[in-house]
This record gives sequence, C-alpha cells and structure tokens, in this order.
Amino acid sequence: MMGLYWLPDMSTKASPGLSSDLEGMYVAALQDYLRQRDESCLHRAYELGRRSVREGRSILEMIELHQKASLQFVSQSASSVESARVLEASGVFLREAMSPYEMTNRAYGEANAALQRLNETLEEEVKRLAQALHDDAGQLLAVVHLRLEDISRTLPADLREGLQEVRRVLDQIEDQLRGLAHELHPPALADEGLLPALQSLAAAVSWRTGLRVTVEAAELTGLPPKIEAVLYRVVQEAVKNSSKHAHARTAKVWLSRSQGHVCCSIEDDGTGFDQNQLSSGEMRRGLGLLGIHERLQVLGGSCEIESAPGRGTTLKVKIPLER
Amino acid sequence: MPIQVVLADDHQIVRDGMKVFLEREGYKVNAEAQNGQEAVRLALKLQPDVVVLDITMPILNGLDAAREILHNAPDTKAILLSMHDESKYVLEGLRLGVKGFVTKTHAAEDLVQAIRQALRGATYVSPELSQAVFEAIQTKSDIVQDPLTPRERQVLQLVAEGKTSKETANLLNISTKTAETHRARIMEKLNIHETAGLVRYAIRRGLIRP
Repeated sequence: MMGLYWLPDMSTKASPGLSSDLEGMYVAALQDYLRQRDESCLHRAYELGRRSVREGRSILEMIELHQKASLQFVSQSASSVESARVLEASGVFLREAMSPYEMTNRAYGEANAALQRLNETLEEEVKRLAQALHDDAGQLLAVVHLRLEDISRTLPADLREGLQEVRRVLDQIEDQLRGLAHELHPPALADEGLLPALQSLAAAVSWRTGLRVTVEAAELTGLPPKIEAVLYRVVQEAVKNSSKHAHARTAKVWLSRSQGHVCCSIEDDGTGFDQNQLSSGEMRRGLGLLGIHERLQVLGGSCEIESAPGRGTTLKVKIPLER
Repeated sequence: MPIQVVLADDHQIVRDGMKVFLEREGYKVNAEAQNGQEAVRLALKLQPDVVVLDITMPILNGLDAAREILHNAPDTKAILLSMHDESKYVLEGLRLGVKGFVTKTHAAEDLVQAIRQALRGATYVSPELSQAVFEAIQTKSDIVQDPLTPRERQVLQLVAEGKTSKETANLLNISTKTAETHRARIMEKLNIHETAGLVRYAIRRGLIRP
C-alpha cells in the first residue's frame, strides 16, 4: 500500500495530549498563585511551560487547559470585583507559562533566518566555484594550448603526434570542467529561466545516465529567482535519486502553479522503497532529502514522498508564492 | 610592414600567451587592453589592421566593443575570442560585421587562419562554434533587437556589474546626472523597474556572464 510521509518530522510525532500529571500541576500552581500571588508560583508556571514545550505539547492545548482552570476559579469567586481580580492574576500566570513558547518561536525565526543566509552564502559560493572551474581553468587551458603549439614546432613530426594526443586529453578536461560548472551553477537558469534550464538538465541527465527525463509545465513565468533556484535543485536531486538509487528508466517532471503556490512533482518508474525506512536519518541523508527539506523550509515550502517497493517513487513539492 | 594587432582580454596570462604566439607568427601586437572600453580607445587611436577581442570583459564586453570599433574604424577587422558555451553570440557578432570567431582553447590552430581570412575580407568561425550558427539559421531563431543605444547598453552593463551612478559617470566621462538619466531611460525603454530585473536582462542579452 502506498502511504504518505510528510516532512518536517515534527508532524509525525503523535501528540500525546496533556497528561493528567501536567494538567493537575498546572491547576494546582494556578490555584496557589491566585491565593498567594507569590513569585515562586510564577516560576512554577514558567517551568510547566518549558516542560510542555519540551514534551511537544501544542500551545492551543495549553491555552485550553488554562481557560478551563481559570473559568472554574472565576465561577468560584464571590463577587464581580473578585472575579475581575482572578481573571487579571490568571492572565499574568498564563503569560508566564507561555513565555517558553515565545522563546521557542523566536529561536525558530532566528534559525530560519540563519538558514536563509547560509543558503544564500552557499549559492554564492557555488557560483564562485563554478566560475573558477570553468572560466579560470578555461583561461589557463587556452594558454597551455598556445604554449604546446610553440613547443610542438620545435619537435620532430613523430613527437608532435604525441603532443596532439595531449591536446585531445586537454579538450576532454575542458569538456568535463564545463559540464561540472554548468551543473553547479546552471547558466540557463539566470539566462533563460526555470523551464529551459530544467529542459537542458533533463537532456544532460538523459545523455549521461540513460534515464529518460521529461519536463512539462503550465503557467510558470515570472517566478521569483529564489524559488526557481530551489525548484531547480530539488529536481536535480530527485532525478539523481531516480537514476542512482531507483535505477529508473523514465522520470517525469511536472510543474504547475495554483492558488498562490507553485507545485512540482517528480515521478519515476524505479524500484521504489518501503516508506517505513524513511524514518531512518541515514536513508534520508542518502537520498539528499535533508538538503531538499532545508531548501524548502527557507521558503516555507513542504514536500511529500510516495513510494512502495516495485511501484516507483513520486516526490511532490509545494512552495507558497507569497510570504 | 607587419600586420598590426590590438589585443584585448581581461586575463594578463592569456594576453601574454597570445602576444608571444602572434609575434612568432609574424604579427605586431602594438597594444594590449584589459577591458572593452580600453580596446575601443586603443583601436580608434591606433587604427590597427586587426583587433582581437575576448567576448567576456568588464566595463564593456567584446561584442559591444566590436560594434563601436567597426562603426568608427571601418578598416579594422574584428575577431572575437569565445569560450565553447558562448556560441550564442556568434550570429549577432556576424551581423555586426565581426570577421572571425575563435574558441579560446583552439586559438593556436584557428587564430592565424581567422586573421588571414579577415584580411582577405572573408569570415572564419571555429568548427566548435559553427555548429551553433547552422542551428540558429535552421531554427530561424532571430536575434531579439533591443531598443537601447550603444551608450545605453554600456550603462546597462555597468549597472549590471554593480557600479554606482557615480562610478558609471567616471568610467564614461559623463556627469552623474547624465548617467542617472541613461539609467532611467533604460528602465523606461525596457519596462523594467528594479535593478535585479536589469541584471537579468543584461545576462540574457549576454552583456555579462550569468
């Protein structure tokens, strides 16, 4: 049976619900605070908040618990003046209990921003590398050819033939460096946009590995360059998996845009795998899924994998167009 | 008198290699430039028989330098040095009147031949690049004419290289205000209103490398 596996990991963790233990401690601490307005009670609120963050409880569950408890205390109060006091104090208590969530949220935002910066630095670095590989090495190769030509004149004919051989090898090196540079930093992406870039990627992969890759798209013009770059990398990674791990014969790339999202699916007819294996970090690393996930996360995107042994693999990616 | 050559490439090591090679072949390299703007200045001043230009150069690329040289010094023959993946510029260059396209790594075999052909009034394109010309003709792909003047194209290249209006003005010997006016005109003509868009356009038109 085909199943779904969603990244990120967080969502696969079954939400345990509030244990009666935490629930009881929360109600007791709130009650103590309402009685004594003691700072030590606020500290208990903070610790309970931390614990619930650590145990992966949802913020909504916590608020619901708080609401239930404070309503109960309000209803027990003797006058409207007292219930107003109870409400106010329980608000203070709630803020304290929620502050660990606030910190987590901030840290998440910061981590995401750092990831985005890292990603940009990485792209810059890749571009620099590609340039060094191709342009700079190309200049040096040009000079080497000129020098060889000079040397070749001073040589007898039979040795000259050997030098010709060397020059043919240099040509192969040049081809390989160019191929590598284009793969690292596809000039077509900046030059002609995503679809032509993917089509030349498909042609290159087909030529190199024999995997037949087709690319189809609808409504794809005017995507932000950042999204184009990520989609290109995701397709590149997925197609690599199809040929390297799944031994597929064909892979279909389909891109479309709808309701503020751009969607991309990459479907192959390879060996597929048992999705339960995906929970192992090693397998996800091997498939480059962590890289895909991180690139998508920066843009608020998500991805989904469908696979089963003997049934091929489909990777579906979704990225919001506006954030 | 030997054939006079002006040589332009932004890599010193390539210029050195080319110069030794050309002089051994009996040519006289009487000036070297490290960008397109310098190449134009030297070519117009010295009026050489041949100017050999690298396609990718800062400040002014080889193609636009050739355009300006051929326009103002019609007796000079222009030959462009190209990398393998720059074949898309060949058709446009030929229309400008460029007489030779030579792949840089095969300059040893092809450059002399290209110069000889150019001086005879003929045209030479290295085999690795000529395939692209045939393909372009077969697919009837036409060069998109951009609406910019040569000066605007140069301002666009400088903007895409990340130069400020002031730097642009200094390089082109114009006032900052004029540079800004050029920039505004470019944006208006192309209907592109942010720098990122201009950079993309410049890449697409081959003014700078991706």
